Amino acid sequence: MTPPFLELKGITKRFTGTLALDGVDLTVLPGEVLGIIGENGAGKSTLMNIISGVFPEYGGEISIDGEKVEIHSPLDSKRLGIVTIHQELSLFANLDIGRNICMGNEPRKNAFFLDKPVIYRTAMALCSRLGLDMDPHTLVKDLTVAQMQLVEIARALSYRARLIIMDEPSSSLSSHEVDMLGGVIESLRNDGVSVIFITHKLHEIERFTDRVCILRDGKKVELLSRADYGYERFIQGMVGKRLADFYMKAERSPSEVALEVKGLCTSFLSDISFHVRKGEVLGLAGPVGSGRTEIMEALFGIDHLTGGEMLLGGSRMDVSGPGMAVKCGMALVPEDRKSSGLVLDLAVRQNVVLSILSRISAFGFTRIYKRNSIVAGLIRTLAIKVSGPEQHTGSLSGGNQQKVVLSKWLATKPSVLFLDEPTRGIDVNAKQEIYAIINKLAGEGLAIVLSSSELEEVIKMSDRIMVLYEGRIKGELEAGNATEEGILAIAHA
Amino acid sequence: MLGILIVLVVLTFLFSVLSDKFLTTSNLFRVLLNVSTIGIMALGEGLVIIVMGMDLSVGSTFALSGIVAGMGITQFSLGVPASIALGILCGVLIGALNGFLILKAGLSAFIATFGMLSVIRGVAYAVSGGYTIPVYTPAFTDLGLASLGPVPVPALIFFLIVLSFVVMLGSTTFGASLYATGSNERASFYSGIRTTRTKYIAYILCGALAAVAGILSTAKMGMASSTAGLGYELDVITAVILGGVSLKGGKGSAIGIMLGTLIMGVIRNGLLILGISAYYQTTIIGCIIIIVAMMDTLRSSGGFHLHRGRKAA
Repeated sequence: MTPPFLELKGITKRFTGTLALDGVDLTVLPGEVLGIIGENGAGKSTLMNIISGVFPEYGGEISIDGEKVEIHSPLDSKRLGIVTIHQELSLFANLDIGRNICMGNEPRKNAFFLDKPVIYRTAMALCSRLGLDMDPHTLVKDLTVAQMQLVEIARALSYRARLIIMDEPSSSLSSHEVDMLGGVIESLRNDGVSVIFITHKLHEIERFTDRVCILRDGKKVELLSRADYGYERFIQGMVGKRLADFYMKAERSPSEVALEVKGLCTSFLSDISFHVRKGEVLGLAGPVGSGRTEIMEALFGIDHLTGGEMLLGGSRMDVSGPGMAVKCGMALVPEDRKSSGLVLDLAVRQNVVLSILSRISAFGFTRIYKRNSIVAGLIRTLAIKVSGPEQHTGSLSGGNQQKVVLSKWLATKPSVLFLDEPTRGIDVNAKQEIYAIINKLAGEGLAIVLSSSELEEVIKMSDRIMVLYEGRIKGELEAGNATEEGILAIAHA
Repeated sequence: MLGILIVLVVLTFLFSVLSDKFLTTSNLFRVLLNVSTIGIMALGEGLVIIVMGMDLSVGSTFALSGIVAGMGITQFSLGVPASIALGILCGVLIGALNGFLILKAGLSAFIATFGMLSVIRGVAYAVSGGYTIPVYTPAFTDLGLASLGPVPVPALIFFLIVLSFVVMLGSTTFGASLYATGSNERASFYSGIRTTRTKYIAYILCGALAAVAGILSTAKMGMASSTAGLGYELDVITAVILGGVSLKGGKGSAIGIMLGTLIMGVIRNGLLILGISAYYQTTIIGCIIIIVAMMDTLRSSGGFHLHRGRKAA
């Protein structure tokens, strides 16, 4: 039996008033990929911060190679061979690959001078080991996100890392780049380097990891090996509830067509035609970049149409911009709520009425009473957790922020609701609440178009699914018959 | 805003201690009179900066509007109200032109208004032939010289505009759109807000207010000059920054800008009374800007941590 590289016994961390971690035991074997999942607040970041030395005070024991160690600073952690690659990469954009890889660890000719040839040779070797085919003199700011990630991994390897912690590594990668990352992780594994893989995307656990640790409320609730992997098991561990109760899609009977699209073309999309009925959820499935967001933005007047038409409630509409789209009864919850969905610096009540400012005004003056009652009503209906409507929107959790975006759009009383990745970056409990809201809206007769890169979500929430690939519709199917493999097969046909 | 008020109070206290000529009614009203024109311009400039724009041409608009109004009265006998209206229209048109260059032609605000600064100034020279235009009509000059009780008319007009801005920024659809657009234009656009129209209005109001200030100044001086307002844009922007308007957009208030203007007025007046050279005034105002900016940063980042490394989340 190979001794574990890292062993955690009874790790406990208390902040004033909260017990963030409660006696967590964990081992990481050399060359294994260990996944860590749990909703926001479960303790994942706290645990990683302790291992990487960011939190110098903790209860419990840490051992490396069987020997007890004390990790009280990031330097301690690095010296023990633990390197963290965060979601927001920490590279130096204006320096080149070689300098970044050797940063802090530069080979020197003597006390004053760096040994540049050695720097670039080391960089080249590490890059080719990871499949990064770039001149090490290239500036980091000229790289794609996926390439930057590889540079970070190369840097970790130059520190002779034995454990690399990857925090949500695939959040900005295309599916092809995720494949390549998988190859890199595989080669790390072959070299005996361990990886801790933190992700919200449960399908990645099945794909990349050997074992997975599920955290909930600061405790380790499950440690599963591949044999026991299963989506249901993961959700159950994270939330404590059964999967069947998770999506809760009720029986629906859609009525007449709310939105019809014929032959829509933009600079990217070709000949998109579909319809959505009132009370129906149409799912859009397809890899990243297949055109799901583009369709919604084109219909909403953000992108320019080069051809085709759309009919709302039977009448042809020429939507020149989002302002017009709102007037026509459409609503769009965008992919990136922080940049496109909310004005984070404003109060919640200001965000909620952002799209109905003219409707609640008289002679240009905002009717405060009307505004406040609309805001209060929506906060109640959507159960948004705020200290009050005047709370700063940027201080809300991801799930509550998304509810504010939803309430803004519900205030416009739309007939068609476009949802682009509605549960991205949201913890499991909040996800369930959002599913419940979507189901309720569909039950009340709203026509909903749901785009998501989580196929499980699309299948479980939609009535019909449209499969897209490279800007074209590849097929359509009833959600009841859909499977992940089936959808992928249609996409790549 | 509290920080700005504190600075103003501290400065007032400081100068009143250093000189017994400072805290007299006549002196304080003199300060008000002097800052009124810059203050009015600062309110307009504040709108533009809140929405992530910039208008460097305000000093030139100041001059040209004064000349247009002055010429209307003296050379074209249009009567006082019509001439004033014409002068303000001049400011509106310049604002609209700035808006067009920035929003439709896609020029950067800095470059577009920097160019317009010279263009308008040149027009002012050309139209006036380089001469100053004396204006004697009392109906006009009263605007600049008269007082309602102890309060000079320009200061009154300044306060009225501040009050209407407080209402406009706080209670109208335009105000809400302005702050939203300035804070996050993309999200505002996606939410259906007419972001371009909001910015246009900001530029037009800025031009109009620069015109109002220019006309008031012409009335006060009794003459329209093509060199009026030279270099004013710096004072105006200083007042805006002192007033707590963030250059990152989306933040600021009319009261804040008024306080910022008063701070500048108090400093200049105080230093003058103390006999300190005008050269030091610039340095001191620069220091105040830095202090006010630091106070604002302290407040928003919740404490004095010398920005060393990342916050452990």
